[in-house]
Amino acid sequence: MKTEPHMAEMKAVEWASAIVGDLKLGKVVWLCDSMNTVNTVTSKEELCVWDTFLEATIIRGRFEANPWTMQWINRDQNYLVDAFPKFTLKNNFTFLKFDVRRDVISPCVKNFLQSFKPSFIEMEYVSPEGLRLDGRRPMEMRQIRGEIGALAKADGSAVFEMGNTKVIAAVYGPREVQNRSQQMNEQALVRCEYSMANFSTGDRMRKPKGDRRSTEISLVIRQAMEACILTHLMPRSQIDIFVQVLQADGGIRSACINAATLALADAGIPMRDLVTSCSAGYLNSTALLDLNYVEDSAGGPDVTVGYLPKLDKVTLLQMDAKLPLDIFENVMQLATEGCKAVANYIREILLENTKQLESRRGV
Amino acid sequence: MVGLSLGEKHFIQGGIAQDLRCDGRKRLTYRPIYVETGVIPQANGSARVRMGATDVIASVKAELGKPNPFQPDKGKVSIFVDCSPTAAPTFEGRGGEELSTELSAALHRCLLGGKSGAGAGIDLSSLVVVEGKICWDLYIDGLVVSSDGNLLDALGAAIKAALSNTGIPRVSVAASAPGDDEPEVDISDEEFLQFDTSGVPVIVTLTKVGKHYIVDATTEEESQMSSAVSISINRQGHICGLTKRGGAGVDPSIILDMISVAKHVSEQLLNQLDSEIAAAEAVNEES
Repeated sequence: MKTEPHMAEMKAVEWASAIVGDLKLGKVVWLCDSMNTVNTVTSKEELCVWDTFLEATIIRGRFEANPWTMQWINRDQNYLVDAFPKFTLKNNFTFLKFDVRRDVISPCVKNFLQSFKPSFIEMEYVSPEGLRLDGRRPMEMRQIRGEIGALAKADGSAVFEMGNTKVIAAVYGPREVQNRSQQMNEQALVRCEYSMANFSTGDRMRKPKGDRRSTEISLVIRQAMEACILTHLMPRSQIDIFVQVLQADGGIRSACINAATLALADAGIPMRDLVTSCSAGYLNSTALLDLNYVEDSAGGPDVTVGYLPKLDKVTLLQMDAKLPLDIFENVMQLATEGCKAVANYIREILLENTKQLESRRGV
Repeated sequence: MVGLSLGEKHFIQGGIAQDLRCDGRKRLTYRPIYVETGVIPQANGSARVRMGATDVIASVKAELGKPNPFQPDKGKVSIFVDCSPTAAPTFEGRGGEELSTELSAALHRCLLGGKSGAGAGIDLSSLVVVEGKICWDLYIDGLVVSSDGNLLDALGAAIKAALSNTGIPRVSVAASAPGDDEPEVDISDEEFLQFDTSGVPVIVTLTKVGKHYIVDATTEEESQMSSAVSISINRQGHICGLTKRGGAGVDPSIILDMISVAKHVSEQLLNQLDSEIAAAEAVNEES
């Protein structure tokens, strides 16, 4: 028989109530995040759920026999269910009452807890076993995947994924300069536009185009790419790089630069080297490679490095937040190692692609 | 803008007149359609549709909101289309805005019906949680990743596929709050409700080139068009919406003729699309 979620919930409450009943605790407040279950248990009306009839009857019997009450708690505040008992035990409180109400609870309880012990609800980004929230080791990168020639119409295009971050890049050019006043007689004009899809973030974005952040990222990508393109070979021409974010889960800058590199290579634009990029951060006194969105929004330092692997040169370096110099060295070293790994992967893809082209030509 | 020489223009026009187009298709044949569903994991539903070099992604996001006071028993749906500059350099900056607005308006007309919500492809009353207080707001976002003509049909197909991929979380309302202004709700993250998408129409765009009209025009063919009529037709063969684009006037009798042709074409398109969507969903469930 297929077990529906609400049935599992009822079963869980039933088991828990058996344990709590054996412990003989006295007054107990139950917090449950399934409103269905809460309604079934607390309702005074006759039971009318058939698939969980047995469980519901048992639970109701136990609730009537004991001084227990049950309340619904918003799923977002679920961590409180875990945090409160630990907190009360740690501080030797015997009784703690709070009003479970959406939107009121979160800030006020947080402040309350912080007033006692600020580090209490600090997130744990690296578990004692040395694993990160998504199960990676600190020096482990997310899975990367690149694909060349994703768009038929562009001169060069590529998709690059780093974990859940997915970016598509298109290159048009070298071609005639569209705006004559920007034409340069010694070198090619490199332009870049970065845009995010409305659906790329967890909450839907409303006004994605042309804000400061995307202008800044456009500039960063342009500068990183300009540093490696042999612009002097293509005077009076223009190269357009368009980057579109399809899914955003941290490390967007890096993913964009890697995608742009692949797309430029696909377009056959002469380059000094392949720029690759990777980010690294520092949380819970551990250097972490390739931060995802949750780790990125933790407010810790985030070092993004753009690197030319063959020339062994750094073309892009950005960091927010502060960091002691010796730790920064480590973090940057880690990010550079990440860049090298990405470079190896990109090289593999390009080689694979060239082999395919070769076999299609029948050489 | 497509740069075509005089010879190329004649070749395209002549081919259409002889019922043999540049890629070997007949006038009323579509390019093969490829559908992928569930491509955007953070959305409630999503799909990617490819027709030749045209590549579009549609995503559906659901948020809880308040229904319109004039229509307390209906949810809200809005459609936005974005043309990515990856599709064409002309979409750079604000360049794609005009086309995006035109496409969103046309999709709105073709899929959502009038202001009253009558004739909508989606049953809007199924989006209501508590009448007059809470309803689902559906945000449908289309993204044109690569453009080779016939964007409207592709977007329509992608939205249809995305809607059939959409799961709306089951919501239970607190029993203890009657007459409350803001009832407390619990959004399940395990149980999802599927939409009935059998009523969602498909859009067929007939592009008039010379004396003849063609379906699924490429960018080159679109550059030679005098006018285009987009007709959205549902399973029952009813017309749900209609848009005419392009400058040249069309004889009324030809429009009626186009509609009957579109109706005929839409049947094949619907069947093909439905089987593609079913196949894509089957792949999703396996993995």
